[in-house]
Amino acid sequence: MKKVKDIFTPDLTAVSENTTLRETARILARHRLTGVAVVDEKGKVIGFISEADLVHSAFPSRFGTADDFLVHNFVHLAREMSQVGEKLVKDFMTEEVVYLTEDQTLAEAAELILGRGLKIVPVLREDKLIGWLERGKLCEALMKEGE
Amino acid sequence: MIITVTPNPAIDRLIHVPKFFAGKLNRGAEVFSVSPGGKGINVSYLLQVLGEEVVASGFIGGDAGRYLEEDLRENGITTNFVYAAEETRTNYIVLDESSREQTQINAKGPWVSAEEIEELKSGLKRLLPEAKMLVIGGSLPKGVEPDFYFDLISIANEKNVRTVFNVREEVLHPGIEAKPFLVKPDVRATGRLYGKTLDSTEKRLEVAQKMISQGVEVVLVGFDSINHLVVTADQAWEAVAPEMVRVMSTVYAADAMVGGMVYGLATEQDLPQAIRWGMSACVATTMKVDERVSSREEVQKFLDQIRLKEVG
Repeated sequence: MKKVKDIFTPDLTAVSENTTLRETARILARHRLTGVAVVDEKGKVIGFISEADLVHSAFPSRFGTADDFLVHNFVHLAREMSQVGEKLVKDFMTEEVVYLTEDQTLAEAAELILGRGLKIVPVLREDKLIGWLERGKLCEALMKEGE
Repeated sequence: MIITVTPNPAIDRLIHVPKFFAGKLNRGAEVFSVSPGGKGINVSYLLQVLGEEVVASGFIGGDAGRYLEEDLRENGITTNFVYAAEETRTNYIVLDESSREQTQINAKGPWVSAEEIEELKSGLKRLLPEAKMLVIGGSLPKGVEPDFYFDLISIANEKNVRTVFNVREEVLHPGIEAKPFLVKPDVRATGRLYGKTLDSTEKRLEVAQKMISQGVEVVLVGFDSINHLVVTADQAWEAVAPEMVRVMSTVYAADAMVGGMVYGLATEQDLPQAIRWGMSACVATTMKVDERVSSREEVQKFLDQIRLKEVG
């Protein structure tokens, strides 16, 4: 059976806990990622922040979902999002990071990603980031594995 | 792990035409290859083939940037690029099949913002404590001033990581002020440096020693397509390829020399042996038609055939 190291994306894109949410949104959009690891100055992974966390930062009471009024009132929605732009990652990141290691099997990756409904999971070696695995890539690998 | 920084990478499109007419419609062209290019990128591919762990960094953008990033990853290279708002450049290399002449059109590259420059520097600071060496080189995209190289070399020096600096003269001098470990000036376009035409060993030695006097530890100057002069504060060699070598292409040769030497130095080999690795990679590359080497064995087979002649 294939392992995480056979299919993960070796990429070290990350933010720090003092990165602003505006900057984080830019990085996620340009890299086309749905979440990114938060690392300290030595590269140790200390958190994870997703696009859902960005929405949640503006609409905390809605558990990450803008309510109907805001969605249909674009000016208000944009203002709400803009106001949180200068807030910092450290106040909205998940500190208990769910992660994979390169020697874990696809079954273990599937249990974690599909079992918990995650879109992207960082891959770590010891406590350092070495890449990430996306749900789409995992699904593709599982389909091939089943052929 | 070795980090490479290519501030202005490119997608190189090599196009073959039966006969090239400038200023005319050229029909019957075939795209021979499409591959990521740039000095640090080329070094990354070679180091990976030799078995070193590499992290490639720089500024990319758009679909061309995504293509470049994907190709590196598929070849086992870890990426850590900063995305700029504009598209990564595409260079066109047109080969006239009748005359074997090449016409190269290199684009300038995307605009990079101050914010994106800071993002790259902070990523580098985070990764350097794990790095054996830093390789930086190539042209700069719009918005990035030559002192960018001074800053990167200074950051690496603070972390005690040796830097290899591989650029053209226009951006060479600010970087040298930060005292990189090894410098390879790219003199292919002009054959000149510090106002001198580098047409003799004496002139090459003179400009190399000028850089040594500025605090650089090793200087590498190419000559005769594939041979190299290597100078330190107290020694100098001319590294010469075996006579049987038939040069098919020099497209990736200069960067292969750098990559091979970096491999030798990063794996704690002495300087003469590192030079041999560089020359072997260079020779192996020149024997292919516009292709990179694809195995360690291709490089290794020339190791014992490289001649080092003491000069100076």
